[in-house]
Amino acid sequence: MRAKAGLLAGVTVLVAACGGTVAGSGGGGGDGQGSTEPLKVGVITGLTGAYVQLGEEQRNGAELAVKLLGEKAGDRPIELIVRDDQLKPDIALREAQALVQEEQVDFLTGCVSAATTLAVNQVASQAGVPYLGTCQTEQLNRPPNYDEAITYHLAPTPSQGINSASPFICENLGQKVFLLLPDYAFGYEQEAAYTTAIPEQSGCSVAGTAYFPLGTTDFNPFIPTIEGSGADALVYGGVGRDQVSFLRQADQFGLTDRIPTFLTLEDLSFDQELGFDLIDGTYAMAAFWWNVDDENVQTYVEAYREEYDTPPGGYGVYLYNALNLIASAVEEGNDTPETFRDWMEGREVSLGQGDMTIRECDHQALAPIYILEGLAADEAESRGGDAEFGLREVVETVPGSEETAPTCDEVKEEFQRVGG
Amino acid sequence: MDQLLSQLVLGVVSGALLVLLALGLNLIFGLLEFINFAHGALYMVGAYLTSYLAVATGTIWLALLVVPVAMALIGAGLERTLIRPMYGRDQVDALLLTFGLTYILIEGVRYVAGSGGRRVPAPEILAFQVNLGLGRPVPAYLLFVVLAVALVVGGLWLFLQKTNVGLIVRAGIRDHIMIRALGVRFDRYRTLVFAIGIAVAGIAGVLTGPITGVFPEMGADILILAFVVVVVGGMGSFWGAVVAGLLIGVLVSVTTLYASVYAGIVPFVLMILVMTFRPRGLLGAT
Repeated sequence: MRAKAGLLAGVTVLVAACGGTVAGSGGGGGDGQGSTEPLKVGVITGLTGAYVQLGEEQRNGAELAVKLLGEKAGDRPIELIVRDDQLKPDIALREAQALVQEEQVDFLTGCVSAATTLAVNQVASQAGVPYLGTCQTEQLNRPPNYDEAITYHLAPTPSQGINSASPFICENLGQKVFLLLPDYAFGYEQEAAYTTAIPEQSGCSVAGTAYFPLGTTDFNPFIPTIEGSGADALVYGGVGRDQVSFLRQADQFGLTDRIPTFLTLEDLSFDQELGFDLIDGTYAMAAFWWNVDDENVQTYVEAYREEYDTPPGGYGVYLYNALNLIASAVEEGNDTPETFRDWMEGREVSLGQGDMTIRECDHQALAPIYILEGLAADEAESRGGDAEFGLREVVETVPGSEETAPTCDEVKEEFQRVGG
Repeated sequence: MDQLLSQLVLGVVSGALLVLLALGLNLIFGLLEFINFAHGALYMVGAYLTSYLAVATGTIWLALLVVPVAMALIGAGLERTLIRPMYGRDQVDALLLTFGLTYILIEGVRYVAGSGGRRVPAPEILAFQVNLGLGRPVPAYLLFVVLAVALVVGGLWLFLQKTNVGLIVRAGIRDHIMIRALGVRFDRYRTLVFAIGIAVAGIAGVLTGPITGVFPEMGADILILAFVVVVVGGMGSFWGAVVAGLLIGVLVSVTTLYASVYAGIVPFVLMILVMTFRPRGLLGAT
C-alpha cells in the first residue's frame, strides 16, 4: 500500500509540474531577408489554457489583417506562422526559438501572458528579430528586458490603464478599494500600479489585497475575505476563465450587488460567456471596445464581423495592428531591424484602436483607454443596434498620453538607474 | 470570528466536491489497482452533458438524474474495452493510456463545443441566500451541494457496507486473489466499480457546473487535488478520502483568509507531511 501511495504521489507531483500539457520542440538561429522573398511573421500566443479566447482572438486578428492586406506587403507575400505557447514561458521560449531558427521569421509578435512575452522577447533579442509584444505588462519595455533594437509594445501597460481608471474608481465606485489579483506577474504589476494610483486620489485607499492562482475555479473562500476588509469597492484583476468563475460565484453571494466591482481587463468573449445578468452593474476598462465611434475602429470591426460573425474582443486588435504596422513598414522598404526601428519610432497611425502613437523613448504604444459599464439586457435593447453584443457601453474615454503612462523622463531615469 | 466561521463553511463546500472525485478515484484504485488519469476529463464530460441538458431544460434537475447514469455507461464501456487489457501490466501503461484518453476527451469536447466555456444555470428554486448566523449569508445552492455530496457519500457507504455486492467489492479491495479463488466472477465487479467511480465523477460535474461554468480543461487542476486527497486520506480508505477532502478544502479556505498567496500550496505541503510521517495516509490501512 505504501508503494502504491508513493506511486500516486509521484504521479501527482509529475502532473502538477506538467500542468497536464504536452510541450512543443525548438531549434537554432538566423534570419532571412529578400525583396521578393516571403515576409515571415511568427505569432506566438496562448491557444490553450485559461486565456484561450484571447489567444484565438489574436490569431483571428492576425489572419484578418493578412487577408485584408491581400496577403502581401509590397511585393513580398506574407507568410503567417502561428504557434501555441500554452501560457508557459518554457514553451514560449522553445516555440520562439523554432520560429527564429527553423522558420527564419522576419518578425515576431503575439502573447496574452506577461510571463510568456518576456521569453519571446529574450529569443528575439538574441536573434535580432523585431518583436511586437501584445499583452499588458510593465516589464517588456523596461530594463533588463527592453532591447531598443527590437522590442515594441502595442498593448497598454497595466499602469497606463490603472492611472486612467483610478480617478473613475475612487470618484464613482468607492473610496476603500479591495484588490483581488492573479498570483503572477500581471497581478503584481497591477498591485504596484493600484497601490500607487489609488492613494493619489483624494480620500481613497487600498483596503486589502488577496491573490489567487492562475486557473482558479473556486473563488468562494475569497468572498468573506473581501467583505471582511470593509471595502466599498472591489477591483478584480483576473482574466479569462478566472474572471468568468469569479463573477459567477460573486453573483451567487450577491457580492457584486453590495460592492461595486471593477475589472482591470475586459474582453467581449468573457462578457458573452457571462451574459447580461452577471455583468450588469460591473465596470471594466479596455483598450478596445467594438462600437466606439471611430472610422478606423469600425473598418476593423466590420471586417472582423464579416469574417467571424461576431464583433472582435479586445486582444485581436493588437495583432491586427501589428501585422498592419509590419506590412506598411516592409512595403516602404523598412524590412531590417534598423530601418524598421527608424520607421516605428514616433509613428502616429490610426488603425484598429483608432489614433495611436509609438513613442520613441520605450517603443510603447499610446492609445485611448475606455471605462465600460455592464448593461442589463433591457438597457442594451434600449440602446438599439446590436443588443446581443452591446453588453457594455463606454462611460468615459481617457486619451492615450504621457499623463497616464510613465513619462519618457521617468523611463530614462529608470534606464539610467539600472545602467540600461 | 464570523469571518473564520464563514471560511470554514466555504471550505467544507470546496472540500465536498473534492471528496466526490477522490472517492471515485479511490474506489477504482482500491479494487482495480489502476490509476485513472482520465478521471478529471470524465468529470469534465459529465459537466458538459449537464450544460447541454440544463440549457435545454432550464435547470440541472434532469441532469442530476441522467448524467450519472450516462457516465456509468460510459465508464462501463471504457472498462470493458480500453481498461481491461491493462490489468496486470505495468502501471506506466495505464498512466499512458489514460493520459492519452484525457487529451482525446478534451480535444473532442473542444471540437464539439468549442474552446470557450459554457454556462450552466443554477436552479431557480435555490437562487437565494441562507443566513447561518455567521454574519454573512451563504448561497443556498452551495448548501445544496454539501447536502447532495453527503447523500452520495452516505449512499455509497451503505452500498459497500450493507449489500452483498458491496461486501465482495470490499473484500476485493482487501485481497482480490482470494476472491477469485472463491469462484467470484471478479471481472463484473471491476466493471461495476469503474462505472460507479465515473458516475460519481459525473455527479461532481453536475454539481460544479452552476458554480464555475464548464470548460474543456476544468478537470486538470481538480484532478491533481483529488490525487492529493487520495494520498492524504489513505489508499483505498473510504472515510480517508472524505476526511482528507474536507480537511484540504477547509485548510485552503482558511489560508485564503490570512495568506491567500500561499493557499494553493497548502494541499501539497500536507501531502508531503503525510507521506513523510504517516505514509499510509490519515485513515489508510496498515
